[in-house]
Amino acid sequence: MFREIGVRGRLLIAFLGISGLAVLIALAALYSFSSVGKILDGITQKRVPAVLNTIEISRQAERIVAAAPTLLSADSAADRNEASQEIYAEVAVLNALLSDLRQQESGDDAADRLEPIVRRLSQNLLELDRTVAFRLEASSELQKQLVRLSDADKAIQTALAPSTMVLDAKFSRLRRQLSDPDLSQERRETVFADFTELVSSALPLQNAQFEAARINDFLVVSALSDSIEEIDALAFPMRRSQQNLLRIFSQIDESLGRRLSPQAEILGDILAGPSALPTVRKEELSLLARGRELLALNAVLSAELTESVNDLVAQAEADITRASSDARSAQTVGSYVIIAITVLSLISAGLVIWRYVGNNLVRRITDLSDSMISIADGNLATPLPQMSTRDEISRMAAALRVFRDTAVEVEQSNLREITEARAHLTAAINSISEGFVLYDAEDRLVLCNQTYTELLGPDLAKFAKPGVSFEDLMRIGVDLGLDQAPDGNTEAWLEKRLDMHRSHKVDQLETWSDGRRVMISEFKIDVGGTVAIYRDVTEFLEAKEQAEAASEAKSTFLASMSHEIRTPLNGIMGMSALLNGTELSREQHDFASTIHEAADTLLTIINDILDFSKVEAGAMTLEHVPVDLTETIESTVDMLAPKANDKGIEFAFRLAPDMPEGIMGDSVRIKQILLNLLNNAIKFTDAGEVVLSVARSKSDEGVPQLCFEVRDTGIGIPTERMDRLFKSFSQVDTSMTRRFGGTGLGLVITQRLVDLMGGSIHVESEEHVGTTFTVEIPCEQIHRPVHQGLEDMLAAVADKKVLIVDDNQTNLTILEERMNAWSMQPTLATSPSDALEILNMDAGFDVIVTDYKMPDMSGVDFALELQNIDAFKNIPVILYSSVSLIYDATRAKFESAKFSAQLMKPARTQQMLSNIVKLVQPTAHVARAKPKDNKLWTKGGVALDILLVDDNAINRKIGLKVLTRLSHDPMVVDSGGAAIATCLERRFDVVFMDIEMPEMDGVTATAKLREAIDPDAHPYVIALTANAMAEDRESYLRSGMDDYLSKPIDIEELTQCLDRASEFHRLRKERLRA
Amino acid sequence: MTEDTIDITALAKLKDVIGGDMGDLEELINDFIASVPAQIAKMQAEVDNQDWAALRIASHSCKSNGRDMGATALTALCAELELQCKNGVPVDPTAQISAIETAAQNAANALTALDLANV
Repeated sequence: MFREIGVRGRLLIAFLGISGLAVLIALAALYSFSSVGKILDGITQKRVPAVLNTIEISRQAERIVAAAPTLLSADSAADRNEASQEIYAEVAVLNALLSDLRQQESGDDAADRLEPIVRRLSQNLLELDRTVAFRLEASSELQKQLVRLSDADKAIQTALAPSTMVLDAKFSRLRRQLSDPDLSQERRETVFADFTELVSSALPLQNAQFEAARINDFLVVSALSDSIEEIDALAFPMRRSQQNLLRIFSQIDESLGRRLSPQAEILGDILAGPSALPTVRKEELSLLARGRELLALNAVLSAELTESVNDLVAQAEADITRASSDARSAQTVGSYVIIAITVLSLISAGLVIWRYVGNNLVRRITDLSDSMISIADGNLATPLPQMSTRDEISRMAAALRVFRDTAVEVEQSNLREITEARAHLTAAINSISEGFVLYDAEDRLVLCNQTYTELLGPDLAKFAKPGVSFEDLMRIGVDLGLDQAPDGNTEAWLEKRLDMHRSHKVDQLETWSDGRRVMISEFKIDVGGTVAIYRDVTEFLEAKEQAEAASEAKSTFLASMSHEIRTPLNGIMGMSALLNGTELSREQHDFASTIHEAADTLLTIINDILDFSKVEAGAMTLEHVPVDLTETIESTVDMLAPKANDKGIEFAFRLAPDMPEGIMGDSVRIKQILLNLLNNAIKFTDAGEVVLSVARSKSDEGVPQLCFEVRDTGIGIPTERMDRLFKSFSQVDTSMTRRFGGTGLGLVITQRLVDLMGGSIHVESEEHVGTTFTVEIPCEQIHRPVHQGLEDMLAAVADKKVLIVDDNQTNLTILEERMNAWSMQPTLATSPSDALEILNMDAGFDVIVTDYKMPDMSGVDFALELQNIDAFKNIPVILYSSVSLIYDATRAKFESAKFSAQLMKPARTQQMLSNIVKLVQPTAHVARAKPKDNKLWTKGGVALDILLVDDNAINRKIGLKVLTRLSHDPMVVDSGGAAIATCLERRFDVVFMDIEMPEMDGVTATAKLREAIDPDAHPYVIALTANAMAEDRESYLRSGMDDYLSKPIDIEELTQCLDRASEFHRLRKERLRA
Repeated sequence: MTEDTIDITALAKLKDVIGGDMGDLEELINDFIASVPAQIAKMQAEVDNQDWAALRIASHSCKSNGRDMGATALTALCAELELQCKNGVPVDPTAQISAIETAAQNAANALTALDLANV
């Protein structure tokens, strides 16, 4: 049963035991305190007050005793009263004290002892009082008698006095006589005789006096006597004296005697009467004696009291001492008990902790925890502690045993599983076709597969055993000569290899000494090791190299071929152009044009192929120079506008107001991209519109980008063909190829170019609805300083009201945006009738811009309408249309429409602006860009070699000054012939050819130049003409001029020509380089 | 000799296009004034030769200069002569040339009297 108590029970018991001991200690202490307390109580509560009381009583008694003599010595009733009052008061106090004492505990005994004494004392005092009272009576009686005596005495004296006086006088006389020395003897004898006679007569009186006095004295003495014996002793003499006195009185003179006798009687009364003075005095004395006796008795009583009190005090003292010693002993006992019990409890606690908790519990718990830790560490075979008792700890031990056994089981089953898994893994690793090696965190080989072993070769493979370090293996490899150190510097190679291994490089190609090429990739794994994969890529690389070589050969072939092809092509083009310049019939003209066009097309195809192969070969590089975006885009659009116009589709472009003015890039390639996309859009659109939008955008990461969007309303791309869109040589549909022509390379090249620029291209399309291509390229914006001229122009047009008339919504939107950007106030009208309505409401427009081809009324008809209305006829009208369409209208109609200006769609921004400025503010100084700025914007910034040909001296001077101002240094000649000669001598980039010249006009001269000079060295010929007629201009272009510039010379148009010339040359250089 | 009204804006444009230098403008004006007699003479010679193509070019040339200088009357006369030559045979070319000469003189006077600072 005891065994079953358990740890908890035992600890509880121990706790209870020690607590019990603690309680005992407390009880002992309490008991000790309380007994000491009681004892103290006994003393303080019982004994001490009583003792104090008795002492007080004793003192009080002493006081009374001390006060008693005062009573006794009281001379008067008042005194006596006072004294007795006082004494009675004190006695009352004493009695009070006594009763107090009786009331106190243990006072009874004391009171019993003291009371009789006190009582006797009281009685004494009472008697004393009475005695004093009697004495006072006696005393007053005495006084009375004394007064009587005194009276009697006085009476006697008074009675006797005269006689005495006479006698005295006689005596004096006689004495005088006697004393007189001169006295005769006889006289003396006489006197003496007289004297003797006198004496004898006086003698009785004297005797009476004497006796009276003697009696008086005796009485007084008696009255004052303190001893009764003395008084008695005086009685007889006094009687005798009294008798004497009586006798004397009887012997004296009768009258006198009669007078004196009563006095003698009185005296006798006083002497011996009932209230005889001596008697009274004796009484008084006895009373006093009695009083003194009483006092003595008092003293005795007091002493007795004191003694009793002392006894009591002594008793009390003894009691106190005893009590104190009792207390001390109680204390001592208590202390011992407490100490004993404390020691006992400490010992027992110590024992419990040491023996039971320590040895038994803690040891067993420690053992158990050690075992648990050991098991947790993995040492499942640890011996578990045996527990004999059946308490909680032993139950824990039992549980641990179970747990351990289970763990052993699990471990064994895990080991089985691991072995199986391992076998699987090894099989898997062995099955892969690459060499696989695993190194642990210390770079030691853990395992490798068969492919690796085979790769190493038998000589090295036998060293590739688990445990070998990577470095050692490499060294062995080197020693066996298997790994190739390029210049025999094995240490350096090893260093590199080790470094590669440690930095976990991926796809490192190594060439081994036997010529094999191995791709090594090394990966770090989480637990701290390395995995290395070895691939024998010799074959792959060979194949790749072959392919590359083939491709390169192909590219080279293409490049040279294209050059070979282009040369004759250029010849064809040149010749056909020259042919076109000669006198030809209509039919011949057509043939020549066709030849030219076909050659041109072929040239384009060749260029495409060339570009493509360059891109494929990775030989395409991009320029990184300032690009004037507006210029680039507008010139591209200019190039394609005729095509769109010919097809009758709207062609517009929109430059967003926030589009950067300039970026760093390659304008040629940007143009190429735009050309391709726009060309395709125009090609595949029969009706509707093609719109180019350029705006700023941001990539996902917030990089600023330029976004080109080409939207058309063409035939669209079927969804199934979308993915083949950018693949080379595949057109969407071969039928397309037949219908539309083209190499199919355009988009691919575009995409490659976009990629090269770091941008992206994507397309959305819906069949029969339209297609939208979007190109986004990152752009690095640069600033073009806004030249003064532009500011002035903008100031001139600000807030001017413009009415825009066009049936095409896109155009309206674009124009509106532009007008708004210029701070003008555009109003839109979708038809001339709308426009007229608007004008009717508000005729305050500064300028009208109208389209030509509109459904209800053409632009020309509209302008004619306006001319008919007085209010409107003075508003300047700009015809904004496509070139070819102007030929539709009759000349006359056109002229009466009185257009203030004509702009070709799509018009360049600058052009439209300057035209409007001219119209709204004719006197405005249409400023040009400063020549310095222009330099920045000339393509490539390269100076051009210019030849100026004009027969007119002044024109030559003007031309020279203009070109000089643009920092060119032109050569100037005065005829076509001189021009040809000069061109043959020296190579020029640009020739400004005046058309109207005598002898040889400009066209002829140009044709001859083309003939004479190799096309690749031919200058860019710009026709200088005063003819504003569009058809003439076109004819110049057709006849072999590269460009035209109208007179009087406009600086801006001149610079644009020069830019185009630069571009032309660059492209040519490129082509030739390739 | 009367003065011709000079189109100041044309002169201004010319000055602007050559770089804005007043000295340059003055030089051109002087050249123009100096060249007039030679041009007239040439034209007359072509009339004498009945070389209408050459006359056309000459009058075109003169017209061009006149326009640049802002000599409006001169320009108009030259243009008319040029047009006539283009279309065939000019009507009384001598008289026209004479008128042209007068106009040129007037323009010269006007140009000389002109305060170039105002241009």
